[in-house]
Amino acid sequence: MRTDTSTTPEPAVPCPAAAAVAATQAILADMADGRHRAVVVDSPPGAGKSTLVVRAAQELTEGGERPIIVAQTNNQVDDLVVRLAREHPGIAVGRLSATGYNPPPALGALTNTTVGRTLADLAGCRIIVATAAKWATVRDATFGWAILDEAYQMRSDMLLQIVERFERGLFVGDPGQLDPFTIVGTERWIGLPHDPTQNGVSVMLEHNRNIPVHRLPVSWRLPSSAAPTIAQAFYPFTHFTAGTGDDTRALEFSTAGLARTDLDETLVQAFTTGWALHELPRRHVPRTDTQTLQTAADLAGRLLVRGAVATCERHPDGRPLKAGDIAIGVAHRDQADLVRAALARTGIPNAPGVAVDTANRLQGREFEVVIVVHPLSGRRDATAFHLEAGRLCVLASRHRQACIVVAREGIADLLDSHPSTDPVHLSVPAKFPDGWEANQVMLAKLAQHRVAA
Amino acid sequence: MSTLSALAHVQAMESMQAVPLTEFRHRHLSGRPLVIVPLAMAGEAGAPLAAMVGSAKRNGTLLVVAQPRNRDQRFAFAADLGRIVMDYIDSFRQDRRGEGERSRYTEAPQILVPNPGGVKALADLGRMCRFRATSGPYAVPDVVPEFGMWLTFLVDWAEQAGTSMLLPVTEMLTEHWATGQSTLEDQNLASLMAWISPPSSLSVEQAMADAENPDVCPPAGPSTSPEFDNRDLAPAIRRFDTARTLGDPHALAAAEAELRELIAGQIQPTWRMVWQAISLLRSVPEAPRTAKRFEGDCKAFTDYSDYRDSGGLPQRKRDTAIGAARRLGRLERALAEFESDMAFDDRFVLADRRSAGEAFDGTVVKAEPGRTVTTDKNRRVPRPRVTVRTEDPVRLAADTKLISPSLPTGHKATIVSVLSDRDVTQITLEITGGMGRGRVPKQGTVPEPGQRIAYLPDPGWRPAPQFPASDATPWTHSAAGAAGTDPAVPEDAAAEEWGNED
Repeated sequence: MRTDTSTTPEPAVPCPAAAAVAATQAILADMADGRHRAVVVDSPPGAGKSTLVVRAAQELTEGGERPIIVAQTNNQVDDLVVRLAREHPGIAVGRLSATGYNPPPALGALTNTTVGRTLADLAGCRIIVATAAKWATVRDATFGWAILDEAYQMRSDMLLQIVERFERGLFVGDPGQLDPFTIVGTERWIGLPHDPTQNGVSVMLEHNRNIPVHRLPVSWRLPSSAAPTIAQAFYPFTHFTAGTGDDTRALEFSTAGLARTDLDETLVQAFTTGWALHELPRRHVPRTDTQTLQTAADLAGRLLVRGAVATCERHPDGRPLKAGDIAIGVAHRDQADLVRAALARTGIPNAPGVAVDTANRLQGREFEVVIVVHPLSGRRDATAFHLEAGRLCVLASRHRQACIVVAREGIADLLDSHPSTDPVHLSVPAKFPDGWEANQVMLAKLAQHRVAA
Repeated sequence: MSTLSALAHVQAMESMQAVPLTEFRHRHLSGRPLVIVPLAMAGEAGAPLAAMVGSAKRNGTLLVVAQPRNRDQRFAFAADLGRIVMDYIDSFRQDRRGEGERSRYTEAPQILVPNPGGVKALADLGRMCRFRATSGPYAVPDVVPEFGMWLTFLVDWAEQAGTSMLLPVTEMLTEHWATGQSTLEDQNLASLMAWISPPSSLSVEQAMADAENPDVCPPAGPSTSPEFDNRDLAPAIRRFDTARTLGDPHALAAAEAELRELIAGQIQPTWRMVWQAISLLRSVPEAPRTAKRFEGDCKAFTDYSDYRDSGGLPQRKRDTAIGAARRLGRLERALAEFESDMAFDDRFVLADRRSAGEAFDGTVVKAEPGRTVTTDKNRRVPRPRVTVRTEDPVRLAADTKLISPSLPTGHKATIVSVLSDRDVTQITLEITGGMGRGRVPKQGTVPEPGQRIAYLPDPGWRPAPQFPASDATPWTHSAAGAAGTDPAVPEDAAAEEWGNED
């Protein structure tokens, strides 16, 4: 994350679709303009990052370039390869991989895709896609353009390993998500512009002034109920809007409620307003608190039992929600394990299909309904880990329809008694958004949707 | 903090007695360590006040800077301390084995300080000394910059996990013992020792009360107790200054003697306690893999020694982009290997990893010892599969590479599948290494049904990351146009006028 002083102002356009098109045009124009070694695109959650990557790759290929694409995980690479190859059957796409890689079935079925271990295997390909780690093993090849996807999740030392593979780069990513980290605790690089533990985009911008920074203005994922809150809390300087109107998306129960009225009340709140805070009684508890985690699982179970129909721009006539459309997001891996066990305990046959994961692993994914176990729920202290804005941002911005937060009462008091006490270092720009403030904004919003359990 | 170490701390609290966290000591402990107890003056960063140094409990040398603000005295102190430390370091630059590239010293120095603050004090001292000129204005003795460079080398090396050339004693103690106090309180050597081994006539509670009373147990440094500073130190320094201004040799000698005595009273309790901690640590058996890590220390020592012999330059003030990235890679690698080594050697640490789901221990319930596969190169190789049943909360995914402390070294396996049913997990593994070269695995290299076996993730071998050449920092990490220097780093930010105007 970085301070936002260099963002190119985009003209205000009332229609979201037109604004998105204009932003894409401006990005492509800056890429075509030979003056810039790099173009940065900041993308809020669900703003069509992959669409932009595919579009930019295709444009570069048309211009006679042979671009490379750098993603961070094998899954991201696979998804991009499948999208590129399907949308542009005329372009030969290469997938550079390590030995022992098994392509998923969707990728194996494509005819214009080649999987190779070395660049020599992919000599005929117009676009080559691989993870940053794989690109770091490539020697003695230089390409005109690289598109770096999820660039804010790539550490500066990784960028240093791959930077000689390309002359110019398009850096695409979401600055509001979790920053990369290191397990090594050293302070020796704090304040250095080339701190290797920082993300690659910040370091590149620090050394190269006048790099155009664009932002995508429309979130196609977040509903109109969520976009303003997420923008205010986590993207205070770069406003964005929801791509859909107030009445495009809706959730409806397919059965009437009976018993479990506490859970139903929360679900109704979420279905009608897009947000709900399911607040359990105030208590200091360990993060593995059974009641909190079981409640999160029960809410997902209840949603499945009652059945819901989701209406959206993709399914204007409604579509029943399945287990895979629901996610439960937590902060720690042991919580995820316990929630999975709790889901199994509900006895609902399709409950284990609900995605349960930590914020780190939910990054980049999308669901219809997301149930969030608040990172600060039941805690005695607010550590930097639990306050980190990126963590809450990931959890609260995965949903297309509704987000339900499960927490113990008392987070507001916890925040008030734990103001940020991180040491201030010389030459380190203040970080925005501030985790403490972002949490306050979210809490203020959730207070309007509170259901006491 | 993991569940098991939290439990150990609670146990310690309940029984009012330190509880061992590990079966072994995972740090090399030299037969002849050099202990340095540094003290610094409050209020001025890196102004040394005194140090007690020596390689045996009975012959510690006390060095005192009578007026810490006087830079001539400061560097005279650095030279005295430097001579002792360099004599010690040079005594390890004698016995060398191996030929050519592999030639290295068989032993390495080990400097022990009371607490992490001591490492920081040595880092400041190294930074103060290593750039000083030995000729021209404000020249310092030759040993000063040499000492500064060696200190910086030791401090840098100490950042790497598992190394043993410079260590705070509190860290070695807390690695092995859990106490009933907080991590912050554990950095106080006196109260840590009160938990582990209270004086024979005192209970832990009494010893802790003493440890927190600066009049009974002066702080282990580098900063001294503020009360001592105001009550004793400041007046004594003032008397020394007055005597020096008056030019009275008698009063000067008396003032100096008084200062030495005062500081000796502050430093000697810590000195004794460090040696007591060392003998405690000696009673803990050393972990098997420590010796291998110590070879890494010897290699680094040899390399730096050769670099100094060839007249190498002092270390930079700040890492370059490529140097920093390279160092980060090395530190991360060392940490992963150290953690894996500890779990491999030590049942207690393994149990800790198991409780977090990062390792498991179970019984072999099924084995296919005769299974073979044909490789890409058309060679038939043994790839036996075994299924292990465990009640550990395993959180490892398929394709994770594993090593096992329960089988002969070289044993390697990969997880094929993990099936959890309530509290029991069945893990199917394919054994990929450590079975000898034949088509049939060697006796005892494939676990048999009923055998109890533990596995943990293999930190594995990874090629060293390849960065651009040091003199060619790419455009993303350096500002264009500036020749050699990076304008984003204010190189002269620490520039200082230097003299004795005080």
